[in-house]
Amino acid sequence: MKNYKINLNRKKLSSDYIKSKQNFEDVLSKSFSIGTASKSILKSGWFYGTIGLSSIAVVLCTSYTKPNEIQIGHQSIAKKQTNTQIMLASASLNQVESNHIQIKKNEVKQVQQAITENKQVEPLVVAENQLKDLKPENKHKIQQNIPATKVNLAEEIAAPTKKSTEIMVVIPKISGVHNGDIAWSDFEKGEIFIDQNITIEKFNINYTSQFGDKTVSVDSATIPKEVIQELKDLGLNQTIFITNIVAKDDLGNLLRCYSMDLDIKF
Amino acid sequence: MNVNPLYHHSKSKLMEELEWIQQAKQNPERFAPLYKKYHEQIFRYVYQRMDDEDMAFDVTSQVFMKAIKNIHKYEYRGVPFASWLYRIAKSELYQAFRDEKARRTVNIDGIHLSNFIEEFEHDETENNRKKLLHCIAKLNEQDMQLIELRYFERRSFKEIGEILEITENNAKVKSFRALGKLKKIFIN
Repeated sequence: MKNYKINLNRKKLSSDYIKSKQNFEDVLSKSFSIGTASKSILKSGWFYGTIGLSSIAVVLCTSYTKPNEIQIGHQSIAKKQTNTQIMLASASLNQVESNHIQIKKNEVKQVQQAITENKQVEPLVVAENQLKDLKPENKHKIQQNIPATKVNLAEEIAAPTKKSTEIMVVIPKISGVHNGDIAWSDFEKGEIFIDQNITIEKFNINYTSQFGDKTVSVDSATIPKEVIQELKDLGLNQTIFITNIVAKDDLGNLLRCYSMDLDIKF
Repeated sequence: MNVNPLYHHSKSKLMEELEWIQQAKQNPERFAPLYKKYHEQIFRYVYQRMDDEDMAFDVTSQVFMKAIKNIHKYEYRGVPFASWLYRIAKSELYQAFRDEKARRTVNIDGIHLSNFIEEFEHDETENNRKKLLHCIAKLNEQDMQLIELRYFERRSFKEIGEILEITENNAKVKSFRALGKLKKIFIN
């Protein structure tokens, strides 16, 4: 839902004003009247009429789906009869199949013929269930006939989207981990590393201490010893966020880095 | 972050509330103390997301009507009663939006914009403020909820987790990721 209306600096309502709008008696009486309304629905005529019509529809549907036995040649086949697909016929198997199935068989034959004549096959014609009817060697040939455009589209989707170069280049890590699980023994080393030519200038670290959420600003590349000790004393598996990481390259250019989410595992 | 004293109860307050809930189950008229306690909280939650004051009061009334009707289904599971009310409020709000009785609104104070711009380490200019408003409008509903609950309403991760029915850690992760997305939209 992105159709938001945004209000800036809307006037706040006071607690006294909101309290003046309380009306418990009204709410109580309405909550009981809602209950009464629902009972009247159960007693209404259209409700039972709908149930009755639905029951008749169910009965009619079930009466057209009884199994039927058909004697064909020397075989007896039990088939389920549907009202759209299969028509009753006498004697041979070909006469029992519906026009729908017959058309599909013809299409498969056309595809097979096209393969032998080395013609380009329209991919849309060949559906998965038709491929099953083909011989394995022919199935492979059809799959190879997929138009080039589809392959190119897939490659385009796989290609990375353009991103800001400032953020793309620098991915900070602690003991080789940028995001996800990190063993405590790796985390407590505490040094954020990017590249030998880039140094971390400052960052924020957010974690849950025994007193609640805490954010510490650090002007170096190393997590302070006090923070490490606090986390160690707590001994809690938690997610640590390292954000607002600013780095400097060897030319003195300031770079902003991707934030880190690290799940500490004791 | 502010601690909401009405949400984060002491043990004695929690026991007192459980007593009220038991009495309300037997007699709906005994729901009155719960109504008085939570009416303002629920109204502010609803009104934060709506433009029309009268509609917000109506929706708040509907929340409590539903709560009174379904109080017999409520079971204490270690979370405050308020979290159950917030869930009903969320449901009623979105019903009002679906029925087109109200429009989804985001109410922001100027100070929130300043905090975001400072967080993103940019200068607080008029252009940046307008740009940030446009960026906020691009967030999806889930991220918008998290940003509102955490950064506009200053709720704890525990509270956010209980309102959205996710764990506290998950609320923390999702809030930071929502902020990260907003920052990415703003910078790019």
